[in-house]
Amino acid sequence: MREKLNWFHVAILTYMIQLDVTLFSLPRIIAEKLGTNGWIGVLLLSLVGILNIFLYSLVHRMGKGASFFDIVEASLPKFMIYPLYLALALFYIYVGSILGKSFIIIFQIMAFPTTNSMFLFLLYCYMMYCMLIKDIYSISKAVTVFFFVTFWLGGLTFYYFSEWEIVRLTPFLFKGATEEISLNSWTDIYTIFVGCELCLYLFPYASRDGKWFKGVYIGHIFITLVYVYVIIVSSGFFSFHQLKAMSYPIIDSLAFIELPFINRVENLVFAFFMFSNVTSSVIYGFASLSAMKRIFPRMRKNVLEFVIAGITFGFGFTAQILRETDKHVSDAMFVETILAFSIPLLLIVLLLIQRLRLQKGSERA
Amino acid sequence: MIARIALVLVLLLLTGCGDQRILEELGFARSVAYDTIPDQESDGRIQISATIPKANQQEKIFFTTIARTSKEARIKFSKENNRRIVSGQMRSVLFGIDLAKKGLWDHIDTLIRDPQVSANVHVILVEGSGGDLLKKEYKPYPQVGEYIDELIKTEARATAIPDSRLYDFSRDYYDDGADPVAPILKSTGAKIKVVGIGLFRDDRYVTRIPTDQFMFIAFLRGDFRSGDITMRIPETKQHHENVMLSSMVNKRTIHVTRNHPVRDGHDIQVDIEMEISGSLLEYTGQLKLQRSSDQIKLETIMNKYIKQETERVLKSMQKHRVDSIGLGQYVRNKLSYEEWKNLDWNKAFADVRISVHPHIKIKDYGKLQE
Amino acid sequence: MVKRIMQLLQEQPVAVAPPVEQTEEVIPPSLDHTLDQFTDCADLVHRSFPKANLDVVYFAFLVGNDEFLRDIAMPFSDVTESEAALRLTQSQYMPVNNSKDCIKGILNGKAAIFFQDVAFLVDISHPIGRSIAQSETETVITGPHDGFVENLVHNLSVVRRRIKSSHVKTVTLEVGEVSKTIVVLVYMEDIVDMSFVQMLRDRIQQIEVDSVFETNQLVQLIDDNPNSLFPQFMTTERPDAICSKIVAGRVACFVEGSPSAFSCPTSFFEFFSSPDDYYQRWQLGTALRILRIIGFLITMIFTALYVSVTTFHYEMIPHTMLLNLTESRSKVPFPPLVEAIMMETTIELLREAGARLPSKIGQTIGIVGGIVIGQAAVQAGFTSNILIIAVALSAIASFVIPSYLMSASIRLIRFGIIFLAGILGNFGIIVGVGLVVIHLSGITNMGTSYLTPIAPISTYDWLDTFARGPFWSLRKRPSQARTNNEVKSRPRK
Repeated sequence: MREKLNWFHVAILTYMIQLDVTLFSLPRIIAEKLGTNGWIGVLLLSLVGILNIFLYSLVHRMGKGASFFDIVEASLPKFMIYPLYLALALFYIYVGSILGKSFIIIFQIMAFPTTNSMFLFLLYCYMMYCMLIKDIYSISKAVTVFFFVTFWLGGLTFYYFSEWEIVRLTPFLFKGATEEISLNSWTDIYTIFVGCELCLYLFPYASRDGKWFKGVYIGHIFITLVYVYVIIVSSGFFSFHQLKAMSYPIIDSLAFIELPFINRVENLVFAFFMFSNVTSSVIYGFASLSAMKRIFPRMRKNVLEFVIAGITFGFGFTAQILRETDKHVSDAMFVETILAFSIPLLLIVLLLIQRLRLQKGSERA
Repeated sequence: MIARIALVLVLLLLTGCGDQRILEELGFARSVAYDTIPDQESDGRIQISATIPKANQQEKIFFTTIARTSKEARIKFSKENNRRIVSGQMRSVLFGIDLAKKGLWDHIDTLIRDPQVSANVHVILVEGSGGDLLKKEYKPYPQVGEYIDELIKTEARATAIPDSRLYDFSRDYYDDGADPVAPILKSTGAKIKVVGIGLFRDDRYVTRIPTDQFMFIAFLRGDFRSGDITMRIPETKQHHENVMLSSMVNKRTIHVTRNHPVRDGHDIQVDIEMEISGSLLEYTGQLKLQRSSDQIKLETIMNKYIKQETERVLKSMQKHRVDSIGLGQYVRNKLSYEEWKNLDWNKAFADVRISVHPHIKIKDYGKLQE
Repeated sequence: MVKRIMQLLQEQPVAVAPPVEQTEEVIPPSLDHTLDQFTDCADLVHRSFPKANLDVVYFAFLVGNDEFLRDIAMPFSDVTESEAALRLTQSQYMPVNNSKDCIKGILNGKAAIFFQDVAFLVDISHPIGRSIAQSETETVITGPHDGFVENLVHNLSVVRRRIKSSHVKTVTLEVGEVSKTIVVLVYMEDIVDMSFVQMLRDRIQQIEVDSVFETNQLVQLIDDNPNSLFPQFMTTERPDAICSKIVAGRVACFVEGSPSAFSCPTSFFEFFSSPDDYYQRWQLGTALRILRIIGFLITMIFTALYVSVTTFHYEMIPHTMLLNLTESRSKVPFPPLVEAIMMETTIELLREAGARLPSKIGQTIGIVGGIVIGQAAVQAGFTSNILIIAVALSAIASFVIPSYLMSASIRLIRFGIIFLAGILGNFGIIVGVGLVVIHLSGITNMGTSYLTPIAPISTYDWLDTFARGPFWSLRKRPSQARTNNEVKSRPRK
């Protein structure tokens, strides 16, 4: 008896995959790229994200719940697919790895500046490995707990309300961006929504009727609301140019909190966000695991997982300083955005061809 | 599984130690002061002083040195001390007014950049030398750092002085529609006193507001929930009546009206409405307070007085072209983005017509009937 | 070479041996054979009634005098063979036709009667052991004060007396090749999901072990995750707790000779509830539940936080507390990690010493520990007094958790987290907590999630997990029991 992922857990997974270390710099990025009142832009981009999810639900409906791999393998010959799988798997590991590494590097700004970042990252990879060796249901259980562990931190924002003023939001729409707002700035920001496309790899574990897609939408809408809330809170708390000047406005605002028994909660809270970051890495790892399992179907237990965690660690060496991780993250996210849209389109085309072929076959018969 | 955990732990044992900051091995700089050096050949160097409390809570250690930056000074201090000097528990940073006249941003910038320094550090101006203020012994208060911190906090809570943490200071500095402020301290004898509020244009100290006008700037700066004021309202030429309002609650709203198009400050009119309510605890005049008509009369008198005084504060701010109450934010929101960009707010501010409309309500007049 | 590695990495098919059918030959019981089996058993008694041509075999220490008089001595002394035959038709004399059963009966305190060619068993056993008394480990302030005892019959009768329903069914099983311990499953027909009963029965039957003497030993033989640190079956000595679990649709299980019973399926949060949550007003019950969860958190991370803050994150200390903390730390010659581990170990030593000693001396240990370790260690500059507070607080907090097994597990995990905190500060704490969560999420109990009702989510159950909702709101049985008969109460009209 194997339970199916229900929509609630899918929603939380979707939320936690999208929530990563970018949140801490998000208000600054939005202010830089879109200027004032960028939260409206986030809402608009969220609609694009919904469109993306819709493409996946279309794939799900057309393929009747068949997994990505089944659809591809039905159309393309194996020798073509395996290199493709391998490339995809490596890319996903790379994305997961770079997200983790950038978390560690930012954490080092606050604490452990001289500790070798690879040691911290090793621990990160170990956590990732511990999650990966479990099945997706256990992963989703852990993620649900992580969600509850991190979600109450949102309550800390109440601390800012005494200093929050609506005048700082200004009535201007998208004014004062560092560069001219172009398509490029929009795609750069869209990367905050990258992650929901991983629902593709949940197909085999969720019910066939597709009701669970409700969860993907809800998770996506929820993360949008969280983003918007964070942006609005910090743009009323900081002045606009200040926001542009700070690298990690959320960390700075956390440093402002003084509770009677504890001060300066930023590094504790930031460490809490490792959970959502690990979740992102794990689900990317899971996606790559799904692909690897297709190539090596008869691998002994935990070997592939170990290899993935090892490669994740290995990729960590490619980015050792903040400048590099920032660059790598934005590059990787850009490619991932393209993949997020092109994969479902490709699958839809394949499914259409398959359907056509089937029709022809039946006509001939 | 166990072997794996052991492996991880052994690896970790090799690390982490370099970043340890064990409590008792640290010296916590509580207050840091920046001053200009009287010497002409300072060559961009300033005097930096710091106090570090001793663990017995009764003594302090005072350091002072001449350095280019605060970080350089910290390294120097550490060399003189058996402990590592850290800035994560800093509560206040003091600037001599002479230094503040030259601009503070370079110093504030390094403070904000340092992840250890809290955003709650108070930015304070010192009349005279900040180093001397820290060096002095204040008998009832063995820890000068704590003393300053408590002083500023209690005063800020009573709305007597505006908050001027690093957070507020840098927020207003970056905001193109507001200018930062900071309280001015002075050490007199065995005490430290708040002697004024320093007003900045960008990061340069420009002018100050004397102690007796603190409350008026508080009325202008925004809502507050507790504050006291003693008004000395001239009744006749010789005679004054004293009115004291306590537990005041202030609600401020700003209305901006503008001409089309806005070319300079003359095209902008700002009305500041203040709804103030408080308990009357002291009154030495002729009116009979139990009569509600007289209460209204008194309210009118107070309104007139507050209007006159706050407008005087505003005039002086306009004269020095410092927008310390953040009116620019409200003006900005009435203008189009291009208009605002083309307006040099600090210049325009001087020409803006500002009128204040206080509405005082006497909530009660204490426990006595007459 | 590569091939070999690949082979090594790949899954090897496991050959499944077909189960061997055991065919037993049936030996008819006979006096000689029986006596032969029990040679060198000095406590075996063989009595003959020559007039009735009857032989009786039993263990002297297992039978009661009264029972013996009633069923053996009175009916069969001075009767003729035909009269004896007539008496043996009474229902308490059970004819047996298998020597094995006969021997088992004697071992269970029955007397075997050999009459002509037939053997009978009659139960004349006399239960020994303490009478029903209050549980030492799980005390409540309000609520019933009886507890299970070592005697299975007593325990079952306690349950039967509480739930007077013919739907209470029992399954008797036997565990231990040598000890032949009797294990009884109790469940409510119509409420329980029978797959749990089946699964539990299968698992218990598959146990291959020489002996089992305790419930907490048995559960470790049947759990899903034998390497986990956490107890996975809720064991209790309280009849009211077990009865409420049975009624909630869980399966309860008793082991002969053990005063604790377990119920399953179990979730992690069950260990944080105590029966007297239900005997107080719901607001109090809720407050207690929250208190226990706070206690859990304090136990897990409070000392670790102390270590982390004093070693790495001095800026987190509120400035009003800083100097006090520095002052008390300044005399201590050890780094905070060593200091904390040392004090935690001391507390564990005290606790263990207190548990091993008779309660009268146990109190002395408390005083010695409290004064000597607490007061003197601080004065000697051995530890800082704030650490003493932290350590004592987390020790006290750990005892708030009603299940001793759970609180012991958490206390052990705490050491790991303290260690991580000493190496990596807050990052270490978070990693530690994360690893615990990941571990917990992998645990299943009887195939159900250990983390119910958080994952899989069941917000209705939260009312009876993190809070203790008023009775009008608790209408459904817990989702983990997977019962078909969900409604347990209806609103008062």
